[in-house]
Amino acid sequence: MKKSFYLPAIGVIALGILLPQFIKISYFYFAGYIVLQFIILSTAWNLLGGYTGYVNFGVGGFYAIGAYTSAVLLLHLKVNLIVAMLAGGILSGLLGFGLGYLTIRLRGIFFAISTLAVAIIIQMVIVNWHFLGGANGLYIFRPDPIWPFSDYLEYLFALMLFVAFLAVMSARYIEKSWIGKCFIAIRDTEEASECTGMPTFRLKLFATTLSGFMMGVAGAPFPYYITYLEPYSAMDLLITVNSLAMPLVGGTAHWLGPVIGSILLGGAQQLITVSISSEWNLLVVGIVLIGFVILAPGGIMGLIQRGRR
Amino acid sequence: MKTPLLEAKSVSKFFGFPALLNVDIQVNRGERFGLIGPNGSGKTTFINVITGVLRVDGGGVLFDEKDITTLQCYRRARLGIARTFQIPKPFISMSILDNLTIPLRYALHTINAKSSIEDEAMKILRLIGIESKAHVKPQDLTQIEMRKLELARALALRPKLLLLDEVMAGLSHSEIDDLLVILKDLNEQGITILMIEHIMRAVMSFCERIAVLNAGVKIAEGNPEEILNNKEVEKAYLGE
Repeated sequence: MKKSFYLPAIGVIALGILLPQFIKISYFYFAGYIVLQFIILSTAWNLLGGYTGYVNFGVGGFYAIGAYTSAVLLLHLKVNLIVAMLAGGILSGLLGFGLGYLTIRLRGIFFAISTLAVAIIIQMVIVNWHFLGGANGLYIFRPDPIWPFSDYLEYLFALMLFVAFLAVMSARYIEKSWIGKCFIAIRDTEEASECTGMPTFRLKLFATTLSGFMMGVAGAPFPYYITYLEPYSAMDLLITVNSLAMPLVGGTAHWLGPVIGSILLGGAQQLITVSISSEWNLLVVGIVLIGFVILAPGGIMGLIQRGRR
Repeated sequence: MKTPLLEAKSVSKFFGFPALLNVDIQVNRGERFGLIGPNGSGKTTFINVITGVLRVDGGGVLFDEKDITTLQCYRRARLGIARTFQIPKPFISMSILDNLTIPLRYALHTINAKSSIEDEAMKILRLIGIESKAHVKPQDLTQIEMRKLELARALALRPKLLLLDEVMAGLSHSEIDDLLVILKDLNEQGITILMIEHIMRAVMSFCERIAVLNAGVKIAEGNPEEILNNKEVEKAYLGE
């Protein structure tokens, strides 16, 4: 485990630092950041939605909590971005913990609806809270670039690359561990899981909390990325839709699924935004999602695994 | 002197109507106990209350001299209460072997080597007679094999008390006999068995003591002969 973690980790850090020395196109990092952000979000969504089968429609809410927590800390306390990311993650993780309590009584579609409600409540609170800028939003200025990066965006890109790596690695570790097996047992049949000695409630709390934490961390650097934070862009429908479409396209049963889905769907969206129009984005996600759900319910990883057999 | 392993004391459960009403049932250590009754009489509800899937609305449950009335379901499972489901609920995306390694892992408490857990799982599959299916998924099993998997998974918990919810339904005459031999054997190894069954031949030959539920109320208890000759039981099953 150790060797298989540290070597790639060093590789990822090196890549994040070296890439900007060679590729100087600013748009690459602008688009790449979004793809990386969705790798984190979709991996986080998949921990709960893919493994345990509890569908979260409130990703935007978790993301916004991360983004606003960090914006407030960056503006008022001038903390380091990494501290702000941890704080955003913890607050969002707490919301996840609360959501975990809902699973005592709410299963299936009822859980999904309540997550949607939670996201709407969060948006309402943000829009009406003057301290958070309300509907007017908040302006955040990027600090000076950090050596060895010549642009702060490049630093954000490298940071997101590393965080995405950590997120994917933890998903992989969980998937291969007993916890992962228990998650899948819960998805298969929660009643039998409990009756065979699994602490299903504690396991679900773990999944919702970790998933929430990751989503908060993914949202925390957004204020520096966008430099103007307002409730509608921070809680864009696309964030939630993408976070569940990407794992479904890539395959929910394997930790690589969300990664593949994010790169393909996220990459395609960035291309379409530049080449056709940004309005086409959502339509493309919708069509691809419907296509996959009908033709390849196991996603791309499902197709690959079926091909191997 | 027989000591009780499971004591349900005046257990009640309401779903808007009384599904169980002041039911007293005591199962002794090492006993083969039968629970019968017409459809909807509360047999499965009783199992759900004992395993902790449902909480009682009145009364209490003692297991191994401990009050488990408010204990969570998974903790009861770890204490040694295992069950099968009337409608099989296998872990559908795992192999048959993994269906057993998960409960084994939690029953053993200590983190044993993966290989020893798998060995034990294979031993149980061999005992039940589905070892050839160890590496297939549950959807490739027949109904009968699925029921055997239910039993195997329950055994993987190393139970003190085994609750069987219609595990024989759909089995042929000779398969029932085979299963009864396995169950007798398990019982001789010290596992107490509470059997819910509609197949009277199996219940009457297997159980030492039988209780009868009707509309949530215990109407009779005794040895198989007493139950067969009980007028109340006849009325519950056949009407007046």
